[in-house]
Amino acid sequence: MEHTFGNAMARLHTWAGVILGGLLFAIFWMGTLCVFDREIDRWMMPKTRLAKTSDISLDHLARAVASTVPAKASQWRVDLPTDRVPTLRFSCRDGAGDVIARHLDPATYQIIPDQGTKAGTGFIFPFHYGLHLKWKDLGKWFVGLAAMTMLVLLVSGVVVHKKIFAQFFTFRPRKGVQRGSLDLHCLTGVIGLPFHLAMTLSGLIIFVSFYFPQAQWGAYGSGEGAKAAYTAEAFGSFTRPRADAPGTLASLDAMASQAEREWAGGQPYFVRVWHPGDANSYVELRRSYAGDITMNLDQIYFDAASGELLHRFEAAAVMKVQRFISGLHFIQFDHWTLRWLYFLAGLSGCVMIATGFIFWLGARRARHARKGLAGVRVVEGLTVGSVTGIIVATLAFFAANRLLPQGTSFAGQGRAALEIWTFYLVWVACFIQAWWRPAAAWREQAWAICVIALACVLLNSVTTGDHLIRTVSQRTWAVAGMDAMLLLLTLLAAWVAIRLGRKAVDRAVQSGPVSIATEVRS
Amino acid sequence: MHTRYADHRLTRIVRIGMRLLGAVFGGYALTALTVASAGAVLARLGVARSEAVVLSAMPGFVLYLALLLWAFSIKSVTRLWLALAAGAAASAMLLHLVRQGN
Repeated sequence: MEHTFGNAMARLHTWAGVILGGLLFAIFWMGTLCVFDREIDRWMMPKTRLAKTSDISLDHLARAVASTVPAKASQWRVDLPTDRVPTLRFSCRDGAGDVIARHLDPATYQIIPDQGTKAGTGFIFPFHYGLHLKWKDLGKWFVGLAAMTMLVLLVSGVVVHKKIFAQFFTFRPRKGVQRGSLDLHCLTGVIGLPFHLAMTLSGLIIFVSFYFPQAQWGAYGSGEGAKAAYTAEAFGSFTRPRADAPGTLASLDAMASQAEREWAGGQPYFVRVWHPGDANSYVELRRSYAGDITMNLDQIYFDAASGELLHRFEAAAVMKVQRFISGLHFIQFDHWTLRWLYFLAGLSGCVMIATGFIFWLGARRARHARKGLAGVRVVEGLTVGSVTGIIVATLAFFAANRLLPQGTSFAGQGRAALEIWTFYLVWVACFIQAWWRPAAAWREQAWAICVIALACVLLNSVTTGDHLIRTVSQRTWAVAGMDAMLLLLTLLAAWVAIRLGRKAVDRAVQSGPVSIATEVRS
Repeated sequence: MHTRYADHRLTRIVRIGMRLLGAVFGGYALTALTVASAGAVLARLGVARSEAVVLSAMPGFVLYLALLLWAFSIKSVTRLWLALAAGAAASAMLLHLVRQGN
């Protein structure tokens, strides 16, 4: 091939997509689910499906959690209820630095029994940005590499598909899988282009200090002290050592009222007590960003014993821009219409990646079979395992959540770990099946999705009594929405499986490979 | 005949490997150095230190993207490495001249 910019971009688009597409699909799929991570939490933690209470007394709360805070704890913290999370989330660090985390009922301030699950915020969300590979933060670096690859794919994709606006209005679903998948790839790629660019770039910018750990070298110098100084000046922090003498705690409600006055009506979203019970104890309040895209860093510190204001922090201008870009990605603001649009745009990204794979396979299937090359077979297994496989695994994770009794443990693994084991084992099984019998894997995994998604809805109804009619009539929207999406997935998967079954029969009758790869290259 | 084909194949793999290494790691190294020195320059020009760092680091991803695209489209791998080395040297020099602290 002649060495031109266009050809170089076409090669780059093809190979970067094939090599990292599987990882990108996993990140996109998990990211799309994260849009509703709190709702997944409600579904997976039935005892937290509570009504929202807005009348919370922090002083009452402090008395209620006092017995749960271990002696010598370095801090305790409570996150206040929001529109999406009705419970109070209590957490503390004991003297050894281990974290204890519990949900509290907002009406009684009592601890809700541990629900034995990591659910959406504990498993799906960290998977999205770190793949649960904690060794040397390798997972985050892989996600960063995948994100840079995504940016490269978007730019090279625009170069490759020059006739982008003509393709935008082209969709030929009845002209065979090959043309249909290419059209769908371009359609989702073009409609979603601004979203995909914004999400990928903002995802990287959230972790700007992680991905450029030496960024402060020039302005602060190298070494731990320089890094700490940078973090304190950019993100704000206040510390003072323990006095190792007993101390008291003044009214937290009074401190919250003072914070609201300082913030001109802004509400705190969490309260944290540092060195509880010590004479040097201090209280930290952070300002909620439920009504704002920018995830502000506003924080106020009070002396625990006197309630005197010790320190106030607000991010500077550039940092506010960083927090705005982060907020675009995190969508922690309350807006249901936008939340659903994010969900749809995320799904369109999944479709874009999957159809890219399918097009790659279709363009090479006949040639590789003729020349005896293994490429198509390897990539087809990778595709099926990455696309339908991760969906099957996610559904198995949900089903395990409703099937495993509370308090189960096996081989030293607690219930929450067993759910996660289910996810990974099912995922691996899907890859094995895809490489073992590639011809049937798409259809069979579509049936698996159909059956498990339906089973999840039924299991939720049987084990918690919250069937769709009840959740809709009681306006438990988180659970109702999750069940509705599972039912929709059941229908969609059944439709795909039936259509693929018909295709398999057709293919057996007339085998005529089509290649339109030349159309894209020209 | 056969060995010449094998030689050609090996050179191709080495060239692709060097291009990939240059793009991913070389491009990142040059970006990281540029981010650090741009932060130093901004701080020298009077921007608050933490603001200078964030302001120079955020566009780093766009610079890295441009370097990646350029590294995969430039014809000569040798020129790619020479340009990366020259860029890194210039950036390191700038960082050395304007950096603050130690």
